[in-house]
Amino acid sequence: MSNTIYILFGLCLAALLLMVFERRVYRLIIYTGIFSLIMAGIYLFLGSPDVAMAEAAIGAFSVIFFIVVAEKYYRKYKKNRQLAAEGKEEKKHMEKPAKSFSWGNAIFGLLFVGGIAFLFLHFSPSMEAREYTTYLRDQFLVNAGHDVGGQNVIGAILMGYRIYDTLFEALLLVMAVTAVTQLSFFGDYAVKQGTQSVVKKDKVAFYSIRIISPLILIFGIYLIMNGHISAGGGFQGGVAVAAFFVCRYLIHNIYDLPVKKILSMEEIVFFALAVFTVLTVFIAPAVLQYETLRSETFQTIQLVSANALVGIKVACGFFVIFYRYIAVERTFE
Amino acid sequence: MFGLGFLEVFPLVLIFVSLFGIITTNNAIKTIIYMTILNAGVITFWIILGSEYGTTTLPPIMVDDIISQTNYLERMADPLPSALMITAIVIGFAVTAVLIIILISIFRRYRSTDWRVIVPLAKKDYKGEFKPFEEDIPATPYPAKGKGPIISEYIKYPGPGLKREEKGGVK
Repeated sequence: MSNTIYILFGLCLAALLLMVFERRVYRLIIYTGIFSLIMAGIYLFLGSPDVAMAEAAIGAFSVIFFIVVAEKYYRKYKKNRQLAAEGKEEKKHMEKPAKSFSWGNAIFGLLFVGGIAFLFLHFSPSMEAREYTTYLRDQFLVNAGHDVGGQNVIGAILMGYRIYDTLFEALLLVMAVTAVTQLSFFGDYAVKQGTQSVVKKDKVAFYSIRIISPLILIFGIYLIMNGHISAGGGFQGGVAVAAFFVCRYLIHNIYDLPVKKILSMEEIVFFALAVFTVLTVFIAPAVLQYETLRSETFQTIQLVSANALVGIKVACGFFVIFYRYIAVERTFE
Repeated sequence: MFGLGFLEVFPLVLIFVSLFGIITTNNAIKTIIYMTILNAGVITFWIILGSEYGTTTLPPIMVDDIISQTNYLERMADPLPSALMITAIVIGFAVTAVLIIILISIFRRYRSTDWRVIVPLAKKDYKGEFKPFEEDIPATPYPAKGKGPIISEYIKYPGPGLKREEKGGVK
């Protein structure tokens, strides 16, 4: 069992080496996905299943999706503009510079990174004792069930002790969604009709997505609803629910959900989350009695509602970002 | 090595290799990929700090299967780094999404993803000497309500009543 983690580390380093020496971008993206999946495995073995789920959902699925869209857009744009730009200054910029590797660059990078690494390792305190136990850790582990409720201590921290962190994280996601929506409207607004999805040509991929996608939706709802008693929670479940809608796009190949409405829905849900937080943190202790406040029913309702609100918000945000990226990807078809 | 165990050295390797990649690469897309690796390295570092018992660390979930084990409270992972790292992963995702859309915008303006081409042009642009290309469409703002082209000009879903061929499904 203890060897497993070293095997995973080795695989991870192998993926990293492949990535460093790979020049073809599509292969690099696939290696990135493999890397993130192995990282998720490492987190799982080190006793953090919640982080593993988040990493698998985000690192191995979402980021790859975006990078593929960027690379595809770049290639299509280049192909589209190559003929029109013949003999103009634009063509000069679109050609690749001949030399893509320089020894000066590499040596400078090695020296710089080596220097930082040496300084870091030289001045870092000795960690061989591996005693990181803190007072906070014990306090959270022992009291979370009584203070916040539920059995998942990570969920209790996210939705109870540090709910303002969660709130500001949600706010940051709202800002990112707004930025992506703003910046992605260039050129054509509407998405053109037609069959673009490559998935349809591949029957195995088509039917497997079709069979799996409802299971993904059920899994996402399960994660949101049981975030307080087992690994999971609003963020992981929200990403899974958004993944269902991406699968729906891949199956039907249709761009039919109104982005603007979902964006406003996300903002409303975020506002509801803020109001809910204020209600449960400030108003409820002033109004309710201690026994009611610490009762299992009240705590369960509070945790499940907070998880559900976060889940809906994250699902809407991810969905809007995905749909805008799909619109960018479909620009030249 | 330098008073560190193997488990702590591994995320440092990730961090420094990705730092090297960020410094040396010329491709903007690769820069973003290396930034995601840097993010993963930092997260791994915190997760490893939180798990004292290596692979025998228990997840901090108070269910019967876990509570029944010996020394379960000592062997549990530190919940605080885990909770903060979930936040870090989601924020990393948000940053990556915005970075990639900015990269696409940069590519539309300067027609390249190579830093050696982008940086001189951006410097020129900052001084006001750069002339955008002929067919360049200026970035349009988010349209006001009832004005401009319609975002909701989406394609109508044919509905469940139609046959599969009409929906465009496989034969």
